[in-house]
Amino acid sequence: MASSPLRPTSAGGSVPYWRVPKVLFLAAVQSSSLLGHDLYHHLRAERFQLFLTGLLAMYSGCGVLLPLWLYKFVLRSPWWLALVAVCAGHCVVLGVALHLARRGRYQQSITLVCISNWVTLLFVTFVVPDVLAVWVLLALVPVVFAEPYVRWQRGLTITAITAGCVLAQGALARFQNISHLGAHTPPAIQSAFFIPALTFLALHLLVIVWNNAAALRTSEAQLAERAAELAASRTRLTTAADAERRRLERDLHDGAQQHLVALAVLIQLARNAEHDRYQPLLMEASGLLQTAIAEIRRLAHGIYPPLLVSGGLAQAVPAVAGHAPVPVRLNLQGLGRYPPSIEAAFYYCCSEALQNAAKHGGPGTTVTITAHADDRTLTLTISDTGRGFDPATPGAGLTNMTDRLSAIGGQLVIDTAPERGTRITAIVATPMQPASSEPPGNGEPRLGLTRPRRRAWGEEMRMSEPCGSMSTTVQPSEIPP
Amino acid sequence: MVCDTSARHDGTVADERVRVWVVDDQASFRRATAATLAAMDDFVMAGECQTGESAIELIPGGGAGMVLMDIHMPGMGGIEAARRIRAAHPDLLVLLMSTYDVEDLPAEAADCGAAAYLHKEHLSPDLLTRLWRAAH
Repeated sequence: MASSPLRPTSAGGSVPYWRVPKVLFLAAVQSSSLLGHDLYHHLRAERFQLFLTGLLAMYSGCGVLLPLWLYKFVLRSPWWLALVAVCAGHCVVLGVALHLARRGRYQQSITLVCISNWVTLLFVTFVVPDVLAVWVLLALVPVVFAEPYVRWQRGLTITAITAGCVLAQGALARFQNISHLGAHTPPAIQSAFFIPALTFLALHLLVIVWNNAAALRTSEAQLAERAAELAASRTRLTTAADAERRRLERDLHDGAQQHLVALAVLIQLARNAEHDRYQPLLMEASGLLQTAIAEIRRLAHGIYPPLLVSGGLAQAVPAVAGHAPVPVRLNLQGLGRYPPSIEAAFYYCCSEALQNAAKHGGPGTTVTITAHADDRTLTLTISDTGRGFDPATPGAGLTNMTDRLSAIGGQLVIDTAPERGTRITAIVATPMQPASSEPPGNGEPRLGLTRPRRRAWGEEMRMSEPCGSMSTTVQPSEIPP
Repeated sequence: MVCDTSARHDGTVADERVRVWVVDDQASFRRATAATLAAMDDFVMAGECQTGESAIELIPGGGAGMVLMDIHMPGMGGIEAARRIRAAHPDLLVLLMSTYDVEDLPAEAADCGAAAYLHKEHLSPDLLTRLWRAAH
């Protein structure tokens, strides 16, 4: 039973209603997904509603209209009217179930349908026991269909009760025939109902079973594909982490440590130097010390940006944009605090995308970073007006970004083409409300160009681009989908 | 310190100053070496190189001298450069240097012909003098 089904992607109205039957039929008879995704999960809602609508039409036709016709033109028996009343009641229940299904309450909906179906069919078998085979198949239809929509305990209960219902139907058909409707209805009419109904219901059951099996196969294939993808991604992440550690070791060894070593030598010299000779040595040592401090600061920032820890993406993204050698337009709305893994992955994407834009974008490249956060998802889009590239040949940086997003359960979408710019969209489902833990002062949307930030203590301002020269606005629409 | 007892030199400190080459890709350490040598009367900076390849090419033979060779450099690295310099100019005293512990050095460091290994931060006039005298 569907105790923990795969999390389905919402169809979101991607397939028009009038195409749903065709798509479902094709999905039913083919195990491979036709549109490149899992139709069964993709059209979960549509499939359910279509099934209920079909059942409603069937009961309206065969349970209400047909007995009424028989009552009027063939046999004026009050049993027909009783049958109409029961089936009409079941149609009402089906309508309620359809309403529940539209609100996404599939388990309640299908349970209600099953219960009403048992009651209706027991009565129908009681009244018309002559076509028992049809009623038995009809009793099986909802429970077979219910399989993916209910928890396994409820599924087992429904299955057991259905078995009891079929047994009761058999007993009713075998041991009683109070109405004698079959005896008074012409055999031709009986055959005209029995043969198509039996065939249709048998086919219907097979289609449902086939559909479920196809869905399982597709899910299995997708899981296998995903597992292989995850294994490859994990290997790449481990390799990247090792490479990063190697880089850190080299940076420490070749950078700060070398300055400190030279510093140690100079101080030792100064200690033993004559009175008039140690001043220049100390001057040089002081310079080396400053260089070492700057080097360590740069290194520490590269390991994990301090602003990301204290202020989250809302503060760290403007900072990294301010350090970028290309002009960056920011539009960060509603950014809150998220788990460190999400913040780190998104920050890394921003940083990498900015580096790529600066490195490969060409002269005049501008970047726009747009963030959008709601209760469920966090989306960050980094688009540039640079050269773009062939999406078939992404670099190691983009693969790293994809892996990082994948590791936190997110997704990276890359839209690019040569000479048409690049748009990178990172999306992840957020586990908490952005506003709930928002640090004070971060709620305001941040709009406009980043200015090179003035450093403290009156140091020289670092100008990445004269602000006045940035007159164009990057529009994501300029970039092809 | 990894000492190579086979490295013996015939040069003397008495009559002329010892010429010293420093081979290191780090400018800060080359400057520190220059300052150290400037503080010594018996030693003089003969030249600086940034890679092992340029050291092999530029350091002339025909006389005693000392080469301060960094181990980790782009290109062939200090150990291979020391081996080739010693093969070409047996008179030169080669000292390997780096910031790593002795245990972290490649095994080739012991038999490349270098007379000793020293941590860079221990570089001092006194140490250079003692090493030179020990070798001669």
